[in-house]
Parts: sequence; C-alpha cells; structure tokens
Amino acid sequence: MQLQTRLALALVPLIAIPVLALGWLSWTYFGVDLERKSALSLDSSLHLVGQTLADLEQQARRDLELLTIAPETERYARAVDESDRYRLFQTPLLKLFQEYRNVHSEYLVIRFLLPNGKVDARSTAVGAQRVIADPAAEAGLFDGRPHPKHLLIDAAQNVLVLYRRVAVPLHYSESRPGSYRLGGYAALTVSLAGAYARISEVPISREGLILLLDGEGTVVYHHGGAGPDTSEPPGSFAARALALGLSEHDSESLHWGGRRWLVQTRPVAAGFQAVAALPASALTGPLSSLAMKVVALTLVSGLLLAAVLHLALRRLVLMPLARIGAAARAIGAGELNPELAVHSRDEIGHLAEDVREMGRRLDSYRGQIEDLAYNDQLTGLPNWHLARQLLAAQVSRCRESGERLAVLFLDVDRFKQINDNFGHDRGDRLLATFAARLRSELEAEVTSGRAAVARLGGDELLVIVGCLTDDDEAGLLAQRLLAAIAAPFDILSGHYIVTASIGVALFPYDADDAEGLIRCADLAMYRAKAVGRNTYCRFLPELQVNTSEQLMLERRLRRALAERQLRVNYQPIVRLDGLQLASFEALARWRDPELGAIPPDRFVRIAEQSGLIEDLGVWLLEEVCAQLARWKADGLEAVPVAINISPVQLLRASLHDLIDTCLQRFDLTPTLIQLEITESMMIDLSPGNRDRLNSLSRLGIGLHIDDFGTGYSSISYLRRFDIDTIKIDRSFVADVCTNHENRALVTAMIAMAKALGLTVVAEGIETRAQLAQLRAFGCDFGQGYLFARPGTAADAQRQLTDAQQEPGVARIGRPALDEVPGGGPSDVREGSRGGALSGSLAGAQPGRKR
Amino acid sequence: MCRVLLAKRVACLLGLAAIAGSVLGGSQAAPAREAAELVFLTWPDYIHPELVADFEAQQGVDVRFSYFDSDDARDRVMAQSEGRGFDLLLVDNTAVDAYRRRGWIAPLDQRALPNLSHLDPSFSAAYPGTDGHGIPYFWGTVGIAYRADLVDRPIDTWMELYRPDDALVGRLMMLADSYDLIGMALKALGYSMNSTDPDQLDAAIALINQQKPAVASYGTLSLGDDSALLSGEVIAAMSYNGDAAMLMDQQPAIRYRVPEEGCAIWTDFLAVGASGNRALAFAFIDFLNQPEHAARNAQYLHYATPNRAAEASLPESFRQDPLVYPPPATLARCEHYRPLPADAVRRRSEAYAAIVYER
Repeated sequence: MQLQTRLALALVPLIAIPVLALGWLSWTYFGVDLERKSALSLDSSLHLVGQTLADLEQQARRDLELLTIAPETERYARAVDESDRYRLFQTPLLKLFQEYRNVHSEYLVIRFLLPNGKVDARSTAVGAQRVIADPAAEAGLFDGRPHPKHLLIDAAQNVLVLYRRVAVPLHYSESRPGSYRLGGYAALTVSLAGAYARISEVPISREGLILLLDGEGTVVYHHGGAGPDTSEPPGSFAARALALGLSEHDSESLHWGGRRWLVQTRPVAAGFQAVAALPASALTGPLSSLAMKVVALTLVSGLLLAAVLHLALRRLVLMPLARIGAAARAIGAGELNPELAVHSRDEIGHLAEDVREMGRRLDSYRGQIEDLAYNDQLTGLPNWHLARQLLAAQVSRCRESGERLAVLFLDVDRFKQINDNFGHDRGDRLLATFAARLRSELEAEVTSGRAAVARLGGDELLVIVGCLTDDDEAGLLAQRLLAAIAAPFDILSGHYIVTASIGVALFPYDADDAEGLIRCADLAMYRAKAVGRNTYCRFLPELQVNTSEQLMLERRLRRALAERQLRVNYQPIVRLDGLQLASFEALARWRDPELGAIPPDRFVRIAEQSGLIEDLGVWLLEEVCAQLARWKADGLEAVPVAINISPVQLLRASLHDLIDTCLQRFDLTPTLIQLEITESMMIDLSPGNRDRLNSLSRLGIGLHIDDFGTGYSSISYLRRFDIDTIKIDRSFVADVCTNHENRALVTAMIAMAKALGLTVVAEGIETRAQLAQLRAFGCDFGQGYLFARPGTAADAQRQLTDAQQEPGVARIGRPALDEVPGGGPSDVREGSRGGALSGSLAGAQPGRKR
Repeated sequence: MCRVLLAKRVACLLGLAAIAGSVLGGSQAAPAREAAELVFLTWPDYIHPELVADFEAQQGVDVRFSYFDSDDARDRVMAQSEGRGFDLLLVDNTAVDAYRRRGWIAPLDQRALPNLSHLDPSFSAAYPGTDGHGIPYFWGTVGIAYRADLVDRPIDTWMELYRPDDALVGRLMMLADSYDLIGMALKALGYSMNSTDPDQLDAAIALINQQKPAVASYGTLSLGDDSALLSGEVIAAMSYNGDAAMLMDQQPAIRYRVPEEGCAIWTDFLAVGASGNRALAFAFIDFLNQPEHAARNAQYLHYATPNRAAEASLPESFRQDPLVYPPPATLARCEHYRPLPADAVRRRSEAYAAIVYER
C-alpha cells in the first residue's frame, strides 16, 4: 500500500471518528432534549388551552352571577303580573343584558328563562339571531330539577351556554340567608370562537394537533394534525389518547394515520377534555437534519483532509521520495552519481543528501573493490580471479584462431622457510620484488598484449603467453624466467638467492580450457619440484594420475580447515585399577562432504606435507580449550585432555605463546592440557629446541611421549626433558598376550617408566586378556576399544557427567570386566561403543606430577 | 332663555332623579322644613317656566325637575326607584294603569282639585285605566319634522323615513320609544300600530333593523339652540308636534308633517307619586288647571290642552293652528295607543332593547 493511502486511512478516521462521535452525542442529547421540549410544548399548549377556557368560563360565570343578582333581574323575576313585567321591567333588564354584551363581545345571547325553561327575555347579538342553543338539549336540562350551575356545549355553533338560577327572596334579612323562590334562570351563551382563536395560536408546531372534547367525548374543536389522510377520525384517536389515563404532565406515544404521535391529555375548564399531540416526525425532522449535517461535515472534512494530505504529502514527501527512490534505483543499477533535485532542509533533504553521499562513496568504493577483486594488492598483478578470466578469454580467442597458448605455473622454492626464517614482512617484500622482476622480464610481451603475469596466491604466479610460433617457445620462455630469477634479490640490506619451479601446459595439447590448463601447469610444477626444483617441467599426461589425488586432498583440507569442517573426537583414558575415567585424548576427525571420512593418518600426512599441519594444530588446541571451558561453565569438573603435536608445530617458537594465550583466553588450569609428542622429535636437540620444550613444561602442562617404543629410543631424553608419561604403542599391546618378545618389552618399558617416575598408558587395549595382562604388569592407565571408542564432545560430556554423578561406583566398560579379569577376548566387539564411562576423579590421572 | 338652561340639564336626568329620591325621603321625615320642595319627573321643556315661578312664589315652595327623554327611560327610572322619590310625574296614557297597579302613584283627591271640572271628560272615557289616577295634561301627534331647506322634496310618508334615500342616510333621528318606533313602522307597513300579530311585528322589527344603519341617533330632539335639527346635522326626525312647533320658531325652514300612513295620537297625564308630598302635588296640579294657567302653558308649548275653559280662552289663531289641532281628515288616519297583551309588550320590548341598546 502506498504511503499516501496508508496515511489517509490512518488520518481520515482520526478526523471522522471525533466528528461522528460528537455528532452522535449531539444527536442523542438533542433527541432527548427535543423529546423533553416536545413534552413541555405539549404541556404548555394544554396549559394555555386550559387557561384560555378557564378564563372564559370563569369570566362568564362571574358575569352570570352578577346578572342574576342584579336588581333589574330580581325585579323582573319578582314581577308576577306579566303586563307589569314586560311593560315596566323588561326594558331595564334587557338594557342590563345589552350592556354586558356590549362589554363582552363573546356573550352572544343573554336570556332570562322562566322556571319551566321557557325563554322570557332575550338579548341577542346582531348576526346571532338564530337560535343558538339546541332547544331540545336545553329542554332536557329543565326536565327534572335543573342544576343551577349546569352548562351546555353546542359544538355545532361553537358556543357554551351557562345557566344560573335567579332566586327571589321571600324574606329579607341582613344576618341570615332567607328562603328563596325560584324566579327563573339567567342563561349566558358564550361564543367559543375567541377562545378557539387563542387556542389556535398556542405555540405547538405546525404539525401539532389540539383536540377539544366535550363531556360525551365528541370532538368540539380540532386544530392542526394529520387531517384527511387517515381513515381514523380524530375523535377515535382522542378517545384512545384519553383511554391511556395519562396524568397531568405525562406524555405517551400513539400511532395514528401511519405516524407516531407524542400525546398529552388533560381535563380543562367547562367539562372539556383537551388532547394535544405532536407527530414524532416533528422530532425526527430536526434530528435527521442534524444527522445529515454531521455526516456531511464528516465527509467534507474527510475529503478536505484527504485532499490537503494528498497535496502536502505529494509536494513535501512523495515527490521527493520518488526522486530519491529513482536515484537509489539508479545507484543500484550502477549509475552512482545520479541527478537528484531534492534540496530541502528537512529530513527528506537529509535523506537525499545521504543518498547522494552514498552514491559518491559507492563510486569510490567501487574503484577500490574492482582493484581488490582483480588485482593483487601486494604485487599489483592481476589476481587469481582476473587471471582465470584473462586465460579464458585467451583460450577462446586461440580456439577460434587456431593459435597455441602456453600457461606457466611458477612457485617459489622453499618460500615457506623464507617466511619462517626471515618473517612475513621480508617474505612479502621478496615476493613483490620477485613479481616485479617477472613482469619487467615480460614487459614487451605484456605491453603487446601477448602475455600476462598474475599472482594466484601465496608464492604461486601464473604467466600466460599467447601466439606461440612453435612448441618450444614455452620452454624457452621458462628458461628465460628462471634466468631472470637467478639474480640475487636485495631486500632490506640483505641478499637473497631465490629459485622457483615452473610447470608448463600448452593449449590445445594438454587441456582445452582455462581450468584444465592451470591444473596441468600446476601438476607440471609439482613435477619440477620433485625433480629437484629450480627447473621447469612440461606437462605429461601421467602426472595427472600420481599427484592429482594428493593435490585434491590438500585443497580440500585447506578448504575444510577454512570452513571448519573438521571435528574433535575424545577417547577416554581410564585407570586400569578401578576403570575410572582419568582423561581424554583429543583426536581430529575429517569427514569430507564428497569423499566421506578421511582417515586421520592420511590427512595428517597431507597436512604435514602441505604445511597445513600448523593450522590444524592451532585449530585443535583452540577447539579443545573451548570445550574444556564449556564443561567448566556447565559445572563439570573437567579431566585433562591430551593433544597430539606435530614436530613442525613443536619447533615453532610461537607454540608456547599460543598455548599460554589459549589458557588465559579460556581461563584454564595448565594441567588440563597434555601434549603428546613423538620420540622422533627428540632427535633434534639443538639448544633452541630444548629451551622451547622446557618452556612448554614450565607452563605446567603435561608432556607425553606418544607411540613409545616405535621410533628412536635413546631413552636418555626421558631424563633430559620433563616428560610425565609414556604411551606404549598399540603394536606392543596388540599381542602382549601372545608374543613373548613383546610381553617382555612391555614389562621392561613399564619397569623403566616406574623407575624414572613416569606414568604409563597402554594404547589400543581391545580385550580383557590384554587388560588383565597389563594390570598384572602394573600399567597405570589404559586406552582402547575395550573401554570406549573415540566419541563426540557430547559423548565425552555424558561420560564426564556419569563419572561425577556416581563417584566410586561406576566403572568404565561393563561391570563384568572387574569380575572376570581373565576372561576371553572374543566378547568385545570392535563396534562396541563401550559402556558408560565413569569413575572417580579422586584417582590419579596419567601424567599428573606429584 | 330658561328653556335653554333647562334643556342642558337633560343629560343629568338620571342622576338628579336619584338625588331627588333621597331628598324627598328626607322631606317626608321632616315636613317642617323652611321651604317645602316639589319634585317633578317630566319631559324637558314641557312646562311654562313662569307658571312654575308663580307657583313657587305663591306657595313658598321650590319645584325641582327630573327629566326623562322617553317613556321607556321613565319606566326604567320608576322601576329602579320602585316609584319612590317623585311628588309629581308626567306619564303617558299606557303607563298610568301599570303605575297604579304597582302602587307607584296615588289616587286623586277630587276635593283638593277643584279645577279638574274644566277638563274635557272625554279623555277619561278614552283612557279608562287613567280614571282616578291621572289628569290629562296635553295631547298631540307623532309626525315627521324636517328641514325643508335641506331636502329635495317634502317628506310625506313614514316609509320615506324607514327606508331613507341616500340624502337622509346618517342624518335621521328616531324617537327612542318602543311604542312610537315600532308603532310607526307598523303604520308605515300599513298595519295598526296596536297590532299584536307576530308576523306584522316581525316585519316592523325587520324594517327598523334595516333602517338602523341610516339612523344618526335614537332619542328626542333637543329644543334648545344646540338642537341637531337646527344645526342641520339631522335633517329629518320623528318628532312630537309641539316640539316641532317650538323649533320652527327658531328655524322657519322646519316643517312638521303627519304622514300619509297616519300617526299616533298621544295624551300625557299628570300623576301624583304614591310616596310623595301629595298635598303640594295636588296644589300644583290644581294650579296648572286654572284655565288661565292652562291657556298660557298651551300657548307657550304649542300643544293642545284638554282644559276646555282654557281652550276657550285661547286666541283663534292658536285654535286654528293645524299643527296643534290637526284637521279631522288627518285625525282620521291616526290611532290612539291602547294597552297591549303582555306577550306583545315582551316582544316589542325585546326588539326595542336590541335596537336601541345595541352598540
């Protein structure tokens, strides 16, 4: 997803959610408030309706009362004689009535009724000449004993008729009410039009509805509302509303004409029931409007934000980023100084500057890398990589043109010794001078492009010469080179005579590709070395058979060391008296991915021949020390580990420092390391070697003589050096039971060692008979398949753990070993991994000095 | 002069009447006051002021007047005061009987009224209800007074007043009297003014309602120089013949007609208040019926007197004045008011109240 889209997706909700939330809150509160206000509106409307009608009724009743007690009325009522009544009293009465009507225009008719209900005098408004009250209804009032405060509502005429008795006193008294005679009634007909007009102005919204019902539930007034679009008449709706039995200020919802209404009801003056209703749409209208506004606001703000973001992002970030991206891609494609027009002072500008800087640096590094990749830093010649490319190019060219090509493989004789004796610094200088001399010798050919000189690595150089005129030219060239080398080299005020061996391979005779040519030249070079060095050899096909395997193994070993393909195996050494674990011998193991396991004697020989033995030794020492340190860290009390040291290694002055450094680096006690050396190493007893050997001894490490009895046996060295232990070679042990001569030798060796205070380890014990025999001879320790084969570090750790968990109880090998010391040898198979190795560490360890 | 002053007092008629009542009550309780007072309820400008002054001088009393401007107004005052507070009343022939029944007026004491012998006995015969309680004062007609100078042609019929043409609209005045207003409408429609036929009454009432918008006011013409007929605000009015004659003296363009449909002949009576100073009232009646006094009074008021001795003493010109004495042909078209059944009275009163009192 694009940054722009992601930012918009993140930010738009950030704006939209608060707006929507605010909107929702307003909507909710507004809704509640609106409903409350609507209920209040209904309430106040009904209040106004009630007030209006109450005012009207109260005023009318008051006036009617005044009329009934007015002297004119009393005189009129008292006048028994009709002639007198009409002749003398009617006009004053009617004038009174008229005056009331003049004051109150809503008093349409004022009448005087006889006790029997008959109209006797009447004052009627102009335009209200019709009979206003329903005569039948009025007659009904006077059937029985009329209620003095009775009233009639004439819905058709919109009038209210109030009646009040006119009493004629029979006695006059100030102090007590006298008895009365019914003189008649005053009847006041009040128009409701004015009240209705006021009701029509109540502040209920336009959709609102106000209904007035008389005592019988007939709708007498109807204002607003749904009108004709409903099948249910307002009266029925009002009846339903009244049936709810709502108290004064309560509202309720009712459906009418497909709409929901909020209704309130209330009994009002003059026996009217008032119903007020507001359609829910009056509430939802403003609410929907609010909701629409919120949604619109959200949309607008969202769009606005998106637009602003888009523009701002595009200008500030995206465009510069795109330019920077393009620049980065250009850099990736190799265009290291692309045009990058971003110069702002913000982070983007800094990023652009960084990209530009990266390009610049890559540009400078590329030169260096190319130089490093194709040129040897020491000599300035093409390296192995470039040499192969050059050769391949030459081969393909010659293949097309049918020309011949020579490859000369040069190796400086004994260059290793030069390095060892005079130091790498001088070695390097010598090599550089050597290369320069070759290069200058071939200046003409190199300049013409016919020849090339390259350094393959170490002291190996390669010369490629094309356009050979005849087959002998290569030989001549080799001689030329050997002659050029023969002159002494002056290095740091010293003269050095150096020779080289040269192998020559020809295209197309020896091989038809670069690889093959180099290999053939290499093999030819080895032949030159073999025949005495300082010469050259032409490649011969038989060379391939003899030396190829060894070369291959050497290369693979070199690679295996570099790639850490080798492993260390540990073979336990046990005390023969009790069979407890005493120490381990570390053994290097090499399993090639293609060739499988390579036997140690074989790869050790190759290592010795190729000089890799040193590297192998260093690796083994470091590996063992690291393992001891791990055991220590795991809380195991480690036992000493013996390491085989080659003569080459031993003669190096640096061995002491190497071991010392390793012990310190892994924080190990020196007694944990034992060095196994062969008797042959004792031959060279130059003072320097003796010092080196003694310095190793002074470190506190143990020195063991390996394969004792097989080599040079000037036993005197045993006394001259601090030797701790001798290891009787497996060849003596193998037939100690059968060969009498060997048995004697073993007995002698053990006796001699005891005499010199040395510890004895018997190697290669494979049978219980051998074990028993060696025990009998007093041999201290033993090593061999009878106890355990060499195992991995994990196996060794297990053996170490077992030995420490059951001190004094466990034994190496099967328990039966102790019980049947003289048993036959046949029951120990070669493949047996041996039993659990265990034993008390309290026992003596081989080579431990006291 | 005096008439003008008196006329101005008409407006406070009811108030005076009330005061008179209280004062009279007091006089009864203390008759030995320094100067006795006679309270007379009557029309304004309906007695010769000199006669009043003469009587006051002769008897050493004060005569105080309370006025009404229609019979209905008088009835209302009487009803409100229960007939009390007046020593002497001027009543129309229809009211005498009702007042007598209510006991508001006292029977006549013949011994205190020697001059009644001059009266024409035919009046008692014509109005039986008045016998023994009322003394005829004047009689006359109800007709049309108009300004000849302000109308295109003479007004000769009631219908010209009840259905006025545009010139008269808003400049008409009608008597505020249920008998006259409804009765003349009946006459205009060709019915008897004493009709009790509901249909005829309804028609008459409808005619009056129809006319109402054109009427400037309902009432009696003022006889002073502020009279609307004199100023020309009103150019035609229903009027009594004597009143018209008095206004003619001030404005010669005024004419009085008894319309062709005929008119009402009315007779006013004097009666003595039941609760008043009867002796003084009888004295004043007797004083007014001295032939010389009656003649002066008639001549002053331009009304025909029922006092035969007085009439005989009046000059020939007066006795021949058709305004005062309509010719027999005219009288033949006229009617006397008669007592009506109660229901008819009720209907008339109701209609009259609706017309006159409606604002």
